[in-house]
Amino acid sequence: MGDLRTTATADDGPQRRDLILVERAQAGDLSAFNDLVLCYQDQLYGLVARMVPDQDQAADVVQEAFFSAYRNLDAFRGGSVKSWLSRIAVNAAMDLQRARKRRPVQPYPELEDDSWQPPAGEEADPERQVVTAERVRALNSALAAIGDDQRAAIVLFDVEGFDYTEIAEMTGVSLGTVKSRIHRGRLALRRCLEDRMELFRG
Amino acid sequence: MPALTHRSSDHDETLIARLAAGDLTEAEAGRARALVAACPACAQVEADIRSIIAATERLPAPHRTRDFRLTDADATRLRRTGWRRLLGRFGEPRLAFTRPLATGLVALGIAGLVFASAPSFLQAGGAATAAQAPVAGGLSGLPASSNAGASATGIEYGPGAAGGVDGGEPAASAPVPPPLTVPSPAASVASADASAGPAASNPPADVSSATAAPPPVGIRNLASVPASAAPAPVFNANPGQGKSTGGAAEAPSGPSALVLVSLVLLLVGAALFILRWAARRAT
Ligand SMILES: [Zn+2]
Repeated sequence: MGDLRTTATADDGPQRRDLILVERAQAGDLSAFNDLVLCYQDQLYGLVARMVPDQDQAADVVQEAFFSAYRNLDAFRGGSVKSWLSRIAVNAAMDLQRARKRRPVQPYPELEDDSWQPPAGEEADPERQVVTAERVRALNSALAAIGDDQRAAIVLFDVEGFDYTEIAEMTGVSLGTVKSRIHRGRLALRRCLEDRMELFRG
Repeated sequence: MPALTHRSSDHDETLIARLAAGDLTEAEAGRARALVAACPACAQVEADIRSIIAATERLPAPHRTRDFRLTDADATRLRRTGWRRLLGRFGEPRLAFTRPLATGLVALGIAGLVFASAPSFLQAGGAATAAQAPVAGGLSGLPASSNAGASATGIEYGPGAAGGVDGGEPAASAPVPPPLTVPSPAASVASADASAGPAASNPPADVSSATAAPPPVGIRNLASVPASAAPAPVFNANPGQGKSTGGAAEAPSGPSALVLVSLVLLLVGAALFILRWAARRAT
């Protein structure tokens, strides 16, 4: 996945394409909007599924985010379409997390699903593949176990590549709070992984 | 490998986590490096955090389970028209200032109401309030029939209030208005209505309803009965009382004007809150 901290200038190809699609969608062209969905649904689902480690709920959140984006096309004021869509998705995911906090719920399920397997072919050595799969599983479980705010900050920074300022804007907290959540979240991950840190060392 | 223990209990793991992320000032970094160099547990924390960052960055993307493209039916359902489009504007970032604005207006409105209903404030304008009491009684619309021999102008309650100031009828007097609680608009309306019938025989209730009158009443109060008109019958009914009530009538209509402005601020602030809430729900 590309790192937003090092890519995406204001006038690069995808951005120009996105702006044209948004303009057509604003004029009522549904197929243009659906082209945007095709461009970003994988990325948004990846983002949300890590913030909300329940796959059904994550899919609902992404669908709701695209609904919201369509409803609010007129509110788009330029800039990065990818950031705009990500912000809407993050807000939708945070709404769900807040709703979960208000009522007693089951903890997120263990992420043992096949869809969380690393892509095949990257590492030919079967033994290494097993270790990699085990590491991914352990890390996903640890991510599901830490606090919602810390998980969101870590996913946005380490996985999605947003910078501190973008995360502060998306999540509506100060820069200091973003940094604190990231650092404390990593320490929380380490505590969760205490017995399995050997998978990550070396 | 078993978890190492720090050389000292005051070793700051967050500082080490920040060092691993390269997120420290020069001075902090120096202190953190010293800890890592001297304490195996701190060194282990730094190495582990680096490993966790690397593993997190390489996490494979979860597989999408649905196609999220919109159908024609979705689009029709979601398309904004008319008032929903207008309402949606309140949820836009450029109108984010309406939130602190609403908070400020509500706070000012409440502060104004609290101030207006403070006993000391009323004592200063007490006589003025007493003079306005009949106006409010008249405005409440019902008392004419319950006040034998009175006209329906509202001015007829002047004597009652004057009598109160005079001290001749303790039961109906309002020499010192009772302490008031902060009135909500709804409560004020209820109190005005409730006091309408017995207004003439129970001026204190009127005093409170006049002081806490909601905007419509206040507006009618100010518009239909000039302050100087209120005490007129007082002079007729009880010349000896003229001085005090006359002076009161000349005093600014402080409480009622303040209450009016406060209520307007409160209502505008509350309306902004409701619009923002509705806009959020609509998006
Ligand atoms: Zn230490």
